[in-house]
Amino acid sequence: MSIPEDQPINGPMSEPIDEDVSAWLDGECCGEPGCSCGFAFCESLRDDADARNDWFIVHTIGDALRGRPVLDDGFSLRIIERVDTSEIDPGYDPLAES
Amino acid sequence: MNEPIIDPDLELIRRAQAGDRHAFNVLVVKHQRRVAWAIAGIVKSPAEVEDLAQETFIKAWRGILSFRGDSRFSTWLSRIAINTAKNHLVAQRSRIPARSAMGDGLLDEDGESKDAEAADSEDPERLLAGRQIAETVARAMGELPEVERAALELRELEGKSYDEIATALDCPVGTVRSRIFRARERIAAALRPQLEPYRGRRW
Repeated sequence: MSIPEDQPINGPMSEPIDEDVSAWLDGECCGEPGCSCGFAFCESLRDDADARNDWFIVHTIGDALRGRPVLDDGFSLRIIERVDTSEIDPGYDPLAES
Repeated sequence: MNEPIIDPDLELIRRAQAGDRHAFNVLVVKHQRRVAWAIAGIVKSPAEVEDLAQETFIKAWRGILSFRGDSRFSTWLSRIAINTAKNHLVAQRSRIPARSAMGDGLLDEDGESKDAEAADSEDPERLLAGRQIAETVARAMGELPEVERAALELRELEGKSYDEIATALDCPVGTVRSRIFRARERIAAALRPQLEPYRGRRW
């Protein structure tokens, strides 16, 4: 049986994930090209374990609904840690190497 | 004449091209799933998908100045990901002589690496956790108010834009936004206890 639409939700998501961030995740934020809607949220991911937890959960919901395997913990963080060890190379074109 | 490309990531790209690592990190967080699924279409092992996703983003960061906006950033990134995965397969094949590898059961008839991928992708604990998560999400989805379920299904399963969902459900776009958010909150509340043991450094 479904629950009524106006029933309160037990255990809301962390403060940084609000309706605007949910829309931003869908690419549906303010509609302005070049907006910075996701900046504050992404900043919070560095230090806020609750925000990281909810980020993971929101994407897990989408992956599970689409029947995709759930990505491992820390996927983005490990990418960022590796990117942090490299530098911009003005002469490099990644699409020219293959 | 072609319409000019309006890239929602333009400001982030500009900042990244000026050397702002945090702006690039936002692009990583935003696009890592698209990159991972592009690679997973070519390579099956989750460990290899992750390695190649990391390689893709390192290439994108090193070569960020070569991005000139001829396509969307997401398209540019996907091309790098696909090339990286294909090059990986070619290198893998050249390292293992196909004839002996097939004899050892390492490659299938199409030359795909077989056993190592199977061992990785069939980890029982990973499979069980994935199945339990899928069951919880399906159950929570079934308990959502009808209007919230419809909005989330149209978004997640059919990939509709908020405008298209508003038209389909005959409601304002603002209502679509709030229904999708509330649906995610309700499912998250059901999932949270199950994922608590895995809580840690993740995003």
